[in-house]
Amino acid sequence: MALKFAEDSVNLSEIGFLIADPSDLYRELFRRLLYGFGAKTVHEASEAQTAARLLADRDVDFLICAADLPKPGAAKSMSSGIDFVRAVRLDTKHKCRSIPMIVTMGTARRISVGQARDCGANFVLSKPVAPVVLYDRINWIARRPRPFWESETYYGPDRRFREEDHAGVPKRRQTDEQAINLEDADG
Amino acid sequence: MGEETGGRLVTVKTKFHREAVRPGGVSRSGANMSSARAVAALKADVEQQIGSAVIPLVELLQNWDATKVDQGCDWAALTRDLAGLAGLHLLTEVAMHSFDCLDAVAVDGVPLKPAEAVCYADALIFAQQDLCRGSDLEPYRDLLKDLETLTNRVAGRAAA
Repeated sequence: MALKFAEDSVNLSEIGFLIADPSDLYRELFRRLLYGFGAKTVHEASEAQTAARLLADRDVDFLICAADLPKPGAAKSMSSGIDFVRAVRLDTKHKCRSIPMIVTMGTARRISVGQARDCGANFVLSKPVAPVVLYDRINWIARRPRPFWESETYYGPDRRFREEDHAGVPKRRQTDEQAINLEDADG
Repeated sequence: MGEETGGRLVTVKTKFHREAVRPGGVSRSGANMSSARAVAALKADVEQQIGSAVIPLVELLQNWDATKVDQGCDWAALTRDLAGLAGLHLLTEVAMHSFDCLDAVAVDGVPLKPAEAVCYADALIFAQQDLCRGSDLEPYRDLLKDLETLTNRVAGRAAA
């Protein structure tokens, strides 16, 4: 089943996004992309404490979180962003526990895709993230909402559902046919 | 989750699901055009930043100092991300291997020999020349295979 909705559009004008990523470059890139996709409200956080505050205080409807989002004062961990997503999902009183969440990760070696998806994220994307892939995933979540599985240790999309085109596996760059590069963008 | 039995399925309908499908949104082609503009606007910054990441990374690998491995990981990750955005496919792949190797050193504490570190440095210098045509990495398959073998050898020392 293709992850494309050629005739569809996605309306993000009333959606509040939170980009939680330690990379200045990625926060800027995602912000620009989301504005280009029609979003008008994009919050940003470079570490987990700020992200938690923004989730609590602002109207956030969609989270894009880096797997290596640092906790303040803690040593950098490759999976602290995953812990952050899991904590929000498992907090039964959190107002944002059911919002769509995408985890972005720089390496699939230290953290398996399964680990990343076990936190309850809707999708896992590998960096560098191709813009059109981000759009397609957002559109997919909008058009194909999945029921959630709720248990003591997991809250998130029911993964008995299969996405045959990608199975949630972040592709390596060399196999990513949809990647946009800056040379193309210039033309 | 798959093994759990003590759970239940719940239907989730958020504001996102209500709003995102309303008419008047941005189409895929529109998103493509706007993202091309967004990425183009970042191009100058990206090209400048690639140098600031890859140059110290190469220097570290040429004069291998294991005490600076965490910094090396950061530079390698930054090189990989920036090169990916700039469409420098070979540099992206080489930086990925460099990161994987340094990550194994940082996390597992495996030793990396200076001669091995120099291999990554040489590959980064070569890849930075951007001889790759488009996304065709076939001419560099042997190089990438060798780097993968080296990375696996270094990472494998954790189990030894």
